[in-house]
Amino acid sequence: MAGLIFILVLIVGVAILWRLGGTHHGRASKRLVMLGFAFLVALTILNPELTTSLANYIGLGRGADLVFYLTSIGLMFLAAITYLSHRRTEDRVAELVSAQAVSEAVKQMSGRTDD
Amino acid sequence: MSDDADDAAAPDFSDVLVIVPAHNEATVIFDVVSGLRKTFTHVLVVDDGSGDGTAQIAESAGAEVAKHLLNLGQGGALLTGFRIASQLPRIKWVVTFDADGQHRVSDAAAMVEEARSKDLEVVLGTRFGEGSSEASFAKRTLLKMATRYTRFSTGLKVTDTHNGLRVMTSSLAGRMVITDRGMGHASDILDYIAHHKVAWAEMPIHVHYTEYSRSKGQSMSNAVNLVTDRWLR
Repeated sequence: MAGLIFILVLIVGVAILWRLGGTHHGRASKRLVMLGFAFLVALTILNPELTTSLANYIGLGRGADLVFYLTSIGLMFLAAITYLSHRRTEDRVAELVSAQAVSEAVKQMSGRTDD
Repeated sequence: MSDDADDAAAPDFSDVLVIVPAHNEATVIFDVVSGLRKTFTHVLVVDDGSGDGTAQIAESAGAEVAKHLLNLGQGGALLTGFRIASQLPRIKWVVTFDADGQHRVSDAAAMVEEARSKDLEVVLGTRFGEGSSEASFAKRTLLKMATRYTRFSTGLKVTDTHNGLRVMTSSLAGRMVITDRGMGHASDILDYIAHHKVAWAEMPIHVHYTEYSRSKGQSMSNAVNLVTDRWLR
């Protein structure tokens, strides 16, 4: 029962992200990756033993540990990607603010410094 | 025409643009600009998104004003100033001058003269010329450490870093690459000088720390941010 609820939440989450995917570049590949990831998560919800066997196979012990490590790594990547995209946006805004100030000032000053 | 001799002796600064990056400096900007205007024809205040009327006051004191709609930081304001200078054909020299009143106009003028006479592309002000600094012991120690770090990372034998009074050619200003829009721009400028083998020199200047400039200046803890930001980039 609990597993079913998790899968429902997963489907709703995927549906929302699918809509948000909007006009981004390379959205097809991003959507495929997202679908693949959701499929894996659904598999582990339906059959929790899967993660344990995988963890045993790579010598990690419990499946929960493996999930925890993967989630931590995923979160760090997410933080890094968010930081980079935020910085890119900041750079673009700064470029715009500077270009606007330069064009106004040059227009205003070019007559006066030519004397 | 008895003034002819004096006129001939007075240096001509009409090809110099003094760039004053300013963020919320309404209380001091009038005096700073009027002080500069006694010597320099062209003073450009880059108003970095101030909300206290800095731009209007600077204008009323005789400055040209470029306005950032948002606050970008001192490095961003300087870069805007550099771009403007490089687009004005008459401007051959650029001076960067702090808005908080800690620099002396006579030092700026002497630095321009030095750059001209010695054919230098950059003259950097140093607070560690003889008897030229009023900084506290703690600040001096921190600045010395920053200087050692800069000497190590750029290979430039500078005696001071993060000092806002500089003179450079407008063509160098136009080429200058500043990636840090905050206070780290000072290191960016030194990096550029080092990597492009620019002809440079230092000149002792007097920095007058007032209660106001201390409150506006960089906090000591910011030194840590400066270093870590550079590593993170």
